[in-house]
Amino acid sequence: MQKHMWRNRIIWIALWLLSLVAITFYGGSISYGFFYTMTLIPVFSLLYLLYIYVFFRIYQNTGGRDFVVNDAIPYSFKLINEYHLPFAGIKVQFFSPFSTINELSDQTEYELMPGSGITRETTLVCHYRGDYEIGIKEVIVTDYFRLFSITYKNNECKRVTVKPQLVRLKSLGNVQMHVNDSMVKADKLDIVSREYMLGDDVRFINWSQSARTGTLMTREKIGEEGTGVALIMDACRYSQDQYEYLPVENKVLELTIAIAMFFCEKHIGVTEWHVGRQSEGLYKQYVHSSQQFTSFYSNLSSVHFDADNTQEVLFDQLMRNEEVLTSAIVYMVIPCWSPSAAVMAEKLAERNISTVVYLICDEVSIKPDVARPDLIQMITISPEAKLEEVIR
Amino acid sequence: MTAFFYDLCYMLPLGMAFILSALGLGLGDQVLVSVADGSPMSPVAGCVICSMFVIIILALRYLGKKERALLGGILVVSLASFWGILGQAKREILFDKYSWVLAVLVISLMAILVGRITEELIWAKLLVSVLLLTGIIYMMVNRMSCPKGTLGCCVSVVLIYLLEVVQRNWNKSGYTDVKNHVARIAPVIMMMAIIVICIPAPSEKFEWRMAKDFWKVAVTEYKRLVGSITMEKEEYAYTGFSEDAGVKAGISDSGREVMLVTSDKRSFNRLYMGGITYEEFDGKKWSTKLDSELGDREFDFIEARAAISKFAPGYEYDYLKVDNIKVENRLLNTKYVFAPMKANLYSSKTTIPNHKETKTKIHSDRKMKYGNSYQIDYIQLNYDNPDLILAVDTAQPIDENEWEDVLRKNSLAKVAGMSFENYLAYQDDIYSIYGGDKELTIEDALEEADLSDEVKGIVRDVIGNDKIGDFEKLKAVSDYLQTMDYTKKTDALPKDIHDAASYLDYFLLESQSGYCVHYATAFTLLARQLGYPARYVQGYYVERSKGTDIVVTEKRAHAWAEVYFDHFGWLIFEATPGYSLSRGWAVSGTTGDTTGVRPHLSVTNEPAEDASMEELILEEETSYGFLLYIAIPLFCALLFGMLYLLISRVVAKKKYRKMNEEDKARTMISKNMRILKTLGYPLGERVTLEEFKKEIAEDKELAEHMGFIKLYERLLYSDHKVCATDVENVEREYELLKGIFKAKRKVYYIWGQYLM
Repeated sequence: MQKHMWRNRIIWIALWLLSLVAITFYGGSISYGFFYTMTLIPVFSLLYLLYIYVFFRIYQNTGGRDFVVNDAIPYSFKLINEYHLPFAGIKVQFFSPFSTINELSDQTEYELMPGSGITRETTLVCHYRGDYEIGIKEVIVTDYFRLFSITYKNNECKRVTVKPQLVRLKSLGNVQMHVNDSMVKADKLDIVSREYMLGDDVRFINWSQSARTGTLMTREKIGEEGTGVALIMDACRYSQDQYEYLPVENKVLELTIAIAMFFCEKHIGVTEWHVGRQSEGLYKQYVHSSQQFTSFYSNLSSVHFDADNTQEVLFDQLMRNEEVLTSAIVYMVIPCWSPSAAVMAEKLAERNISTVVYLICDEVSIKPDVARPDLIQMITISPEAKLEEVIR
Repeated sequence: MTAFFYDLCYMLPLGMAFILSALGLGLGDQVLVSVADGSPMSPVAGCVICSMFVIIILALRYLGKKERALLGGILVVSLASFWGILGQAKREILFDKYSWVLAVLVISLMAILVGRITEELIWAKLLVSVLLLTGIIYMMVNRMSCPKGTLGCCVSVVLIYLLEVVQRNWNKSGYTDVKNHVARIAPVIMMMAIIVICIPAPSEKFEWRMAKDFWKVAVTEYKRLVGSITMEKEEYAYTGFSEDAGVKAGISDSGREVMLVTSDKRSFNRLYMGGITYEEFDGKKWSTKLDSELGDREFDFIEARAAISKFAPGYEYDYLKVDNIKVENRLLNTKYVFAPMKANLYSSKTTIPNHKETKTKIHSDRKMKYGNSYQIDYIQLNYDNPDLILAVDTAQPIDENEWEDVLRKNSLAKVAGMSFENYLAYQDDIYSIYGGDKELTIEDALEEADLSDEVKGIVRDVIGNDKIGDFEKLKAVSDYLQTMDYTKKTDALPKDIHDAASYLDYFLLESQSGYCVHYATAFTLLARQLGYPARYVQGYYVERSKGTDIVVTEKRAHAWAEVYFDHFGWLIFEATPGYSLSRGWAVSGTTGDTTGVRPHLSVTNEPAEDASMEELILEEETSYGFLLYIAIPLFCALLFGMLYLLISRVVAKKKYRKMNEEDKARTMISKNMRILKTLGYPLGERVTLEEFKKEIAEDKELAEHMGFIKLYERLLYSDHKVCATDVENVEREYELLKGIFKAKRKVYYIWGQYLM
């Protein structure tokens, strides 16, 4: 489009200059008429663009309210011309890179006759967890002579809240520290039964009660919550630029949830720690069953990342918490390696606790300077990487 | 409709362009005229008739059979009735008076044909556009007059063509019917053309005044800056070529700007800006001993005003006027103030900062820098007034009362030293300082002159016996000198020249060439020998080419002579070849003519020709019967239309009754589809009946009566045999749809029901 537009503009400028030459050397209706025409062409084109700007309407629709990262959801938009002049060239630009509209190019130009509309139905995929705008971001309108175009922001953008993706990991990758049931200190007191839920271990099915009630029942340990696996998530916002912080936060949450789900499926209790909103203190969640996981996922989806939730705050509070320091293994999901993190790792090593650090950044390798390097393992994951591919 | 408007947006401006071009190219004098009286066609009338014709032809092309027959019939009937009610005599008169209508119709038909040929051929449209553009460019270059309407129509055609080309080469999604797009945007283009037609177009070429003024300011500021940096510390230029006023062997000059003279009134074309005057000549150079004596320019100013007031009271403006000029210093690094002769240094408009006036010059107390300026009032004499010579030659002495009166009128009464006694002393001094003898006539003075016989002979021949006054005689001498050769490359004066006589001998008899210094010197010396006080002046010769501002360069350095006439004052005499005094201005009356009224040019009205019989007949008709010529054809057309619709309806009903069931169903389905189309649901080209039905389903009111579409499908795609029930159903739906149509489109229903 730009090529055509520049060609037309150059032709117009050349003709306008010629008209100036004409009025400089010749008086009369022809030379001045030529000049007026050449001068009025862009004026009318710009008025026409203004007309489109005022009267052009866009309607967008998304199928549903729940958005999850990488789930394709139905999306449609309608471009409408309800007035008297045709709209010569309309292009819509979609929000990217946070979301992708499938099967539609934003290079397509549409023409709308008076009283007509164009509807396009497709699917939309959100790439990151967070609160952001999707669909049509900008509209580019071009005049009938293809001389000028104006780009303006779509005033009716759709803002959505996208939940993190649930990634089922088969393993935790090359993690040297193995975790087993013995690490969970859940005891066998206060065994109660409840209805069986998909994902519950079949070994815990209470067959006799199931026979009595006619419903599949399973046993649940509700004794002292185990502190075997600790999962620490850094909820600090390291940038003001949405393009920078959104991919990182998305990956931090995605990995945290994936690790929790991994242990949950193995019926190993995981205690997740992060700093709550406005540094209000440590936020702790224990996940063991699928029911708890649902609640955990919901809570984590709405975690608010904040610039005040620094690693210093996080680890300072964690080091004062005996529960973390008695864990069998600690998983950290953090976007950067800070001195506070190193101190925490050192302290954990002193107590002979293994630490696995997942570093969500693009840096190739960071070697932590700690006394017991055998007790700490660091894995770097790019914010744009697919977890299933990098953790195998 | 799209095709109709698409054709219309090309053919209408094309037709009008043809009509107006035909007018512009001279056909307006031959073809597009009335046979009766030769009066040309009115462009507006031509365009209106052309537009109507194009619209009718296109309507006939695109309307359905019924509408076409109706429109055609109405036209024929109305024209036939109009023709019928005119009598034979009136028909002939009308035909003669509006004979150009036929030519307009032929030209319009040509436009339609061109439009039809180019309809599908984009290259043909290009050709037409290029031809139109070439035509108007040809007319522009040859400065032919072109009605703005022609231009507007040509512009419309070309722009619509460009619009179509842009649309054709635009890869777009959605509804991309180029013709429809062009037809819809064309009104915008036409509006633009109408605005172009409405904006006044000056017949003169554009002068770029603002740009020129801006450029001038920029250049001035640049020069001011450069001048302030580069101006030499030493006094660069004095009062022309040199300060010592010597007659030198050759001169050189540069294009350096020395001053800018501005006169808002543009009241002069040549102005002598004097810098210094000299009274003594030793044969080789001029000198002065009056540098310390007080100036007397005001006496000269007042003396001239008094002389003219006395000579032609009430008509002073015919002889002189007071003008004001502004002088801005450029690169002339000097203390001299350059001023025209007869300057009034005490006028309220004269502004020369910190100056001192002597008999020979006006001197500022410090050197003027680039951009320093001053203003001066001065008297400009009207050399184009032949009576000025008489006024000079016959100037009478003025008494004290007259002197005081003129002083008052010129606001010089309070200026010190302007007493009548001082004026008389000033007059007496002139002869003692600048030579001459007021008691002698020119001829007597020449006889007594200290000149060689050869020079005397030349002067005698020049002044002759046919000259009436002294001014004329002196003018003859300056004119004679102007016939000699002008050159800047002169030899040094011979060593034996030691006085005026020897200089004149050498110059008039031997050299006979030189530059302004030689000629001014020669004339000053000759004028003195002829009994007139004369002085040599150095300064600048300011010549206006155009505009109010005149840039004076060093090349304009000049020398000239000034001669004193008793009771009138000093006058410039230009003796240098190639130079001349300023032209004057038109006079309002002559001396003694107190009325000043010029005879008016009387316009004799030609007796009006008797109105022709044709005009009388037509006038008679217009007074009472003209409306009949419109009303009767209209009535006939209306009658025809009603009859046509009535008959066609009766025929259609009769025909319908005779149809078999299937034809009846098809007819009714067709009618239903027409109603739907009128209500905004046309059946698209690639739309299936099922899709069409779905589209209509949005309108719940209509959706209930769509049973006929199923029947339509069966008729189209299967061997369905239509039964009476089917026909009844479709007829019932027709009536219901008609009801909706009536409710939604009340006005159109009255017309539409006859066509459905």
